[in-house]
Order: sequence, then structure tokens, then C-alpha cells
Amino acid sequence: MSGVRYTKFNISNDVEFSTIKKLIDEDLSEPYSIYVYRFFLNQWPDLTYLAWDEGVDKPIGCIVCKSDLHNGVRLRGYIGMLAVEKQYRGQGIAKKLITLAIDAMVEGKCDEIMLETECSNAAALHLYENMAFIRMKRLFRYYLNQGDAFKLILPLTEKSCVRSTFLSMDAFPTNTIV
Amino acid sequence: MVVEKSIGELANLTLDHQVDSGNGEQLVDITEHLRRLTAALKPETVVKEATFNLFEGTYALEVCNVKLDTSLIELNADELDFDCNFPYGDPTTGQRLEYVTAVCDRLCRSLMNWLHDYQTLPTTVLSCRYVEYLMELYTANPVSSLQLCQGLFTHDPLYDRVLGNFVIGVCSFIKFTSKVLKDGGVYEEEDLNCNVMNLDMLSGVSTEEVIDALRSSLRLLIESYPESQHLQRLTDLLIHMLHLPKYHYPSCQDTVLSDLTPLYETLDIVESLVENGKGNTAQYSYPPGCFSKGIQKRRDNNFPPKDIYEPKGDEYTSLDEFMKDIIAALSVKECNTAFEIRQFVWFFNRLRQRTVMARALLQSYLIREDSILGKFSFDAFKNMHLYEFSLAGTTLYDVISNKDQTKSHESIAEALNELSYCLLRWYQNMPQNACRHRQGFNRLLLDWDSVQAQFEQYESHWQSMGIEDRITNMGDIPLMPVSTWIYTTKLLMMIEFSLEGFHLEVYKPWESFTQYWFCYYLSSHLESNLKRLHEFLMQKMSYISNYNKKIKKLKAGEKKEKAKSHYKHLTDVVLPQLKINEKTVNYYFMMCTIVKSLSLAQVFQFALLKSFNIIDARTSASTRFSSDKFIHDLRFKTFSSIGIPEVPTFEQFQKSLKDFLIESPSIHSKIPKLLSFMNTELENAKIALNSVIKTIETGEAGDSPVATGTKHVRESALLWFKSMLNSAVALSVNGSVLKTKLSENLKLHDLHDVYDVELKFTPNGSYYFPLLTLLPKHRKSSSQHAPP
Repeated sequence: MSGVRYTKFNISNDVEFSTIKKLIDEDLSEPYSIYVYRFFLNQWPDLTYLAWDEGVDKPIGCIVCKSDLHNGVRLRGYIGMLAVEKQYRGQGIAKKLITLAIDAMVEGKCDEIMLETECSNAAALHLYENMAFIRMKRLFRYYLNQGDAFKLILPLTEKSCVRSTFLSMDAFPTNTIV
Repeated sequence: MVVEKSIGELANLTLDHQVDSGNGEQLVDITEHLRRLTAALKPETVVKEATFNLFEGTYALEVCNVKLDTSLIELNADELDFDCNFPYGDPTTGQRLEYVTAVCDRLCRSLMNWLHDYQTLPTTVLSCRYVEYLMELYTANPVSSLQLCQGLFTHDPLYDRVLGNFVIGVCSFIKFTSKVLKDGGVYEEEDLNCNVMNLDMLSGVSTEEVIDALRSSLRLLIESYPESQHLQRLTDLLIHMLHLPKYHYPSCQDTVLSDLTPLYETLDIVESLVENGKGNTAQYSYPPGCFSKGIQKRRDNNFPPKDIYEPKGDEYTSLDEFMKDIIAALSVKECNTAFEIRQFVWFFNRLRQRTVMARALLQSYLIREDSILGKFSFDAFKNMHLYEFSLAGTTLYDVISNKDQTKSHESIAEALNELSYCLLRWYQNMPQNACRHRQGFNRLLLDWDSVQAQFEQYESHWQSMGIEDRITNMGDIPLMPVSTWIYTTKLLMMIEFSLEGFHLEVYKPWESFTQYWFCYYLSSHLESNLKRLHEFLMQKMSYISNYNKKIKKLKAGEKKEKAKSHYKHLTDVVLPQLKINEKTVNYYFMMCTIVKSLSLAQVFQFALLKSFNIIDARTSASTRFSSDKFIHDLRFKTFSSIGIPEVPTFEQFQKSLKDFLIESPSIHSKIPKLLSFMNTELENAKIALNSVIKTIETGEAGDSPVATGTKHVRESALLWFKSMLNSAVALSVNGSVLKTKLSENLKLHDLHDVYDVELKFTPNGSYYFPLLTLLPKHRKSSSQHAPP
């Protein structure tokens, strides 16, 4: 969408922090405490992106991610939260935010990117599956609202495709192919 | 980020600026200091104890956040003023009986809302003020007898005795359920939420004492309240439900009950409640404020505020299902052979996820501290599995059963005992919820693949010691009975893991080719494995039949007598088992045929759609960040370490698909032939299915060529195979539907822009075989059809 610009989250900006919290709180079924936001935003500020509309002084969309070592053998990126204000939906903003986040995680040498989404959230599934995420498993009654979730993974390197038991950090070069 | 410096400064404050609070306390005014420090904080700063990890904080609740802080819950006047020691209701109009009945009725319904509808305790049973009040009293003074418990004090026996004892009964049932959860078998939170809000649920009071108290309530009701039929039924129901701990092995060990009479009696009471209740939750009114969110506000609570769950009216129907599931689970006690137990556990939780209590009780009842059903030791149980499949009549079995404890016997027995662990893990996995069940195979396959490799080595070694059986008609290849059993079990798990992905809607339509082709491939390997075993069984049976002729040729004497005695053993013991094993193998052959044929039918339909470019066996999504191969390899990650059978590569799968395609020119005229191949496969599946169904329906007559082992899980097994049969029919119809739709565009052979594909479950069909369904492009339905 023309007119929408995207920036990295600025941890020193109070307004950005509180707007992200507001965007997510309004949108997601799970209530998150301030600590959840601090957990993500303070430790991985570089993996959070914001979408801004022209002439609007607050973000209209955001994606919040992290990356860390999974099972001690592969670097796993994780999309924790994604929200776009209702009036701006259907304009490709979420897709752009995901793309920016994935680019950053690829840059950070992640082997895979993971997320969970409600099985009933057809829009989210469509969005992620069109970016080559696949459903790895179903999680029974994962959410507080009793709903099941799918765990989705996007493999970025060969390491993502090998069982952790058979991986050691020395055996595989990181980021084999992107 | 930690502001250690600032915390340090605060800690170093002295009493230089002392303020007198007016009551003699010496206080320090830190306001200015705090303002100065907070003004210097950066937005990103988190003030925290150095050892506090931000990740731990993600579990914390947030004060003053209305979505998370339960202290912000607002209560109305009735809730605030509610007094558990006040006898609500007009004593002259029967209102008190109505109130007490209403509370007890709702408590029973709340138990089902909790256990059957997966709601939480604070939003169901614990939302009752009487429950909160009485358990608060007990928690403050956890005595060992009801006689010493403080109860309700309204001076009305309906409240003080009947309601009070009823609440105690409900809480005792919660205590039992907590124990079931703690003893494992099901998962906290997802299967069952047992948040008792730090209340002591009668830890010191025995169930027997609670039952006695309820019986005294029942007597009182019968004698003094003739209008209390519904309340009597509810009290009687609770008394019966409190018999359930007697079927929980960890609760009662060797005194565990096997007589299911009390459970059948419970069913009768539930039936009368269903009849009389008719789903009416509003036929009685409660004392105002009796059910409330108040407990969430007052007690320790690690969860966000949640509205209380209002009963929907179908609770007694749920209770009926709950009890029937438990009775069905405990019927496992009727099984006598390893194959029967295996089949029972396989079918029990198959077509419908059983209620959580039934799944948990099945596990604890079946797998006890040191035995299976109190009948077989774990090692004996594992040996039974082997014997009833591939070990009977083998040299290895002769060595194992040799009473002279030779060294080789000991080492073989020791090696075989390693299998017990894998087998028990398989049994523990089967009653899990469908998601955990599939995930469990992901881990189990590592173990079973590993023991297969190990036992192939062991058995090769044993062969070198002369402990071997060779199959003459198959080039004298060795049988390796243990590895044969392990491999069969592993292949069945691999097939199940793949097909469960369809049930759980894990796969997109484009993945169905690789999955079904893989299942076909695995079934073919399984079939080859079974053929080896079948050949051995036939060879051994033939050997026994001909053994008599050998005896006749022998001269009378000790040698002949020994041979006669051996022949008797062979005909009395070995031959009957070999015949049973052959029937079991025939059953597995049929399973192979069914999975192979239905999978191949799916492959044909996929190939048909691929031939018209409607679908492809690779994602249509952007692969900017990944690759088709990575996506494929990730999907097959579970099998990435499997040694045998070799898992086909991405390229091999793609090549296989090409072999099924039809091409221009005259592409439309080639469809009937492709569908004819498909229908031949489906007919094979139907023949096998009808044969299995007939065997089950006729009670596995002695002359039946197949043994299904489903005698004690008959209904579930029948439903399962009938769902497969329905799928076979539906697949055939779907083939014709696809042909018709493709023929609507006779001039086109690229229909990529015309149709989308969805996987749709057929009513009463198998959830392993959803149909590839064509939808006009851009008019895709908003949600997938719900699984049956």
C-alpha cells in the first residue's frame, strides 16, 4: 500500500512501545502482561517492525519476534505477535511486516522460523502458508479460549530438516542455503 | 536492563530524614529520591531484581490490567452480601428445598462442564460460594475426619446436612480427579485443568467417610422430604460416582475393583436424570449470589479473570457419555491375549476422543506398578506380543523357554527385556488426545528404529550360535522373529503418523500426494515383511503335519517315544498358536491392502488433478525464503533418521508422480482408464474391509481365516472399519465427480485458473482419507469442513 512506511522499533520511544501493546491487546485473544512485551521488546528490539500511515503519528501495525537457540542445536526465529489496525487490513501490510521480520531473522542466521496460530484463524493460516510456512503439528486446547493451535515452521536452512538429536553445532554449517 | 545502581542508592538510604507517622513509627520519606531516580530512567529500562529473568515474567499477571488482574473483578450486592450460614428461602413454601436442589443440580452439571467441556474449576464448581466457604474452612483446619470438620450452620438440615455433605462429596471427587491427573497419563491444562486455587480438597478425609455422609443425607431426604426426588437422585449419583476411585489402580493398589456393577448402576441414575432433566437448567432458582466470580477475586489466582461458565443443559447427556466411556475403558480387563489388549488400546480412542477420565483410567488400570492388568509382568507381556506374532514355533522360542538356564538363554532374555520399555511407551501413547498421540509417535519412532537396528545385530549373532530359522521357499533367508515384530510395529506407527496428519488437518492438499504415496510405499514394505512371516508359519505348520510320517519310520524304542512326545507338544501347543498367528498375519495383510488401495486411489485422483495443472506436489507459495526441498525435508523430518525402509527423497517423490500422469493429446479420453485403475484398487479395499467387518460381526468364528482381536472393543472397531468402507465408496464417487468437472472444460487441459482444491472430510467416512475436492477459483469456502 502506498503511503505506508515501515520502521524498526525504537526501544527508546515510549509511544511506540505503548502503541504496540495497544494494537496487540485489542487484536489477540490472549491477554498479555506488560512483562510479555518487555520480554520480547527489550531483548530483541531489532526483530520488531512497525507500519506507519502517512500523517498518522502512531503505528498502525506491528510484528514482534525473537530468535534463540532451540534445543541447543539450531537458531530458531519466532513470530510472537502480529497485528494491523482493522481499517488497514487487506492491504498487504501484515505480509510486508512478516517479510521484513523474516529478512531480519535470515540476516541473523536463523535456521527456521516458527509461530503458533489458532486453527480457526483461516486468514492467518492463509497468510503464512503463502509464505511457505507449513503446519508441523496441532496443539490440543493450546489457547485460553480452549482453541487448538497449529505450530507452523518455515525452514531456512538444512538444519531445520534434521532432528535435534542428530544435530550438533559443529556438524552443520549455518545458513546453508537461503 | 537492571538499574542496579539506583536500587543500590535506595538501599543505602539512611534515617537522616525521619518522619513521625503519628503513631510512633519512624518512617523515611523517599518520595523525592524516587522521583529523581525515576526521572532518570530511560523508556527501555526495566527495574528488577538481578536474578529475575524476563522470561519468568511472561507468566506473571499484571496489576491494574483489567484483563489480568482478578482483584479488579466487580461483584454485585448479592454476591457481596452472600452468607453461607443463612438459610435462604421461605421455609413454608418449599423454597429452601428448591434452592438446595438447584445448587446441587448445578454442582453436578458443573462437574461435567469441568471434566467434559474442558472448563476450569474456578469458573465451574469453585464458583459456588458453599464450595469456597467449606473448603476455606477445611484448608484452615485440615482434619482427618468429617466429624471434626466445621460445616454450614444455618440450623436447617437441608442446608447443614444435605447441601453440606453434597459439597463435601463434590470436593472429594475433585480430590480424586487431581490424583488421577498427578499420576500421569493425561496432560495438565490441555486435557484437564485442576486449579483448586490452593484450597485443600479434603486431603485427610477418606472417600468412604464421604460416601457414608452422603448416604445419611439420602436417608434424611427419603424420610423427611418426600418431594425431593430430584435431589435424592443427585445424591445417589454422587455416591455412585465416588466409587470411581476404586477403579484407579494408584489409589487403591491391589484392592482395585474389577466388578463394574456400581458403574452400570450409575448409568441407570444418569439415564433417569436425562429423562427428568430434559436439559432444563432453569427449572430451579438459586439463592441470589450463590454462584460468583468472587473466588477469583478473593483467593490466590495465577490465571486471568474469566466469566463463570453457565451450564448449557446437556450436562447429564455428557455424564452419560462420561460413564459409558469409563465402562468401555475398564472393559480392557476382559482381554486375555496380547493381541486382544493391543487391539483394544488401538481402537478404544480411535474414532472419537474419549473423555479424559476414561483415557486416564484406561492407562492406570492397564499399566500397573509392576504388571499389565495385574495378570502379566511387563516382560511376560512383551514375550506374549512376540509369541503371538512371530516367535511361536521358532528355535529362538525353544531357547527362551528352555528350563535349563543356559548362558545363551540368560543373555537373550536380558536383550529381549530391553523391548519392554518401548512396548510400554507405545501403550502409554495410545490413549492420549489426538494431537499428543501423533506427536508421541514422533518420539517413539526414534526408539523403535534404534531397537530394530540393535536386534538385527543380536539376531545375526544368535544365528551364528545356531539359533535361527530359515525360510526355505524364500531362498533360505533368516526369519529373525524379534526384528520382524519390531519392524512391523514400526511400519504401522509410521503409517499411522502420516495418516493422522490428515485427521488433524496438518497437511495442505498439495501435500496429499507425497503422504499417500509414502503410505502406499510403507504398506508395501509391511506386506513384504508379513509375507516372510506368513511363509515361515506355513512352512512350520507343514513341518508339524509331516512330522507324524517321520515318527512312523522310526523303530520302536526310546527315540520313537521321545519323538512321539515332541509331536504331541507340537500338535497340542505349537500348531494351534501357529494357526492363530497366521490369522493375525492375515489381519495385517488386510490392513495393508486397505491402506495401500485407499492411498493409491488418492494418488490416482491427485495425479488426475495434476495432469490438468490444478495442483502440484509442491507448494504454490513463495519460496523466496526457503526451497521446495527444504519444505519437503521438514515435512519428513520425523522419518529423517529411519534406516529401514529407506525414505524416498524429494526428487524420488516428484519422479513417482510423473508416472501417474496422463497427458495430451486426447487427455480427456484417458481419464476413464485412470479411474478404472483407481476403482480396481477401491474394490480390493472394499473386499478386505467387508471381510474384516464380517469377521467382527460374526464374533470371529473358529473357521474364520482372520483374527481381528477386537472382541472387547467390537463397536469401536466396527465403526472404524465401516468409516473406511464409506471412504472407499466416497472415493469412487469422487473420482466420477472429478471426471465430470474436468469434462466441463473439454477444450482446456490447463485448469489451474479454473479450480482450487480442498481436502474435505466425508460424513461417516474415515478421517484418514479426506476427499480432494474441486472448488471454483476465488470462491473457496471460508473454512474447512470440520472433521467428523
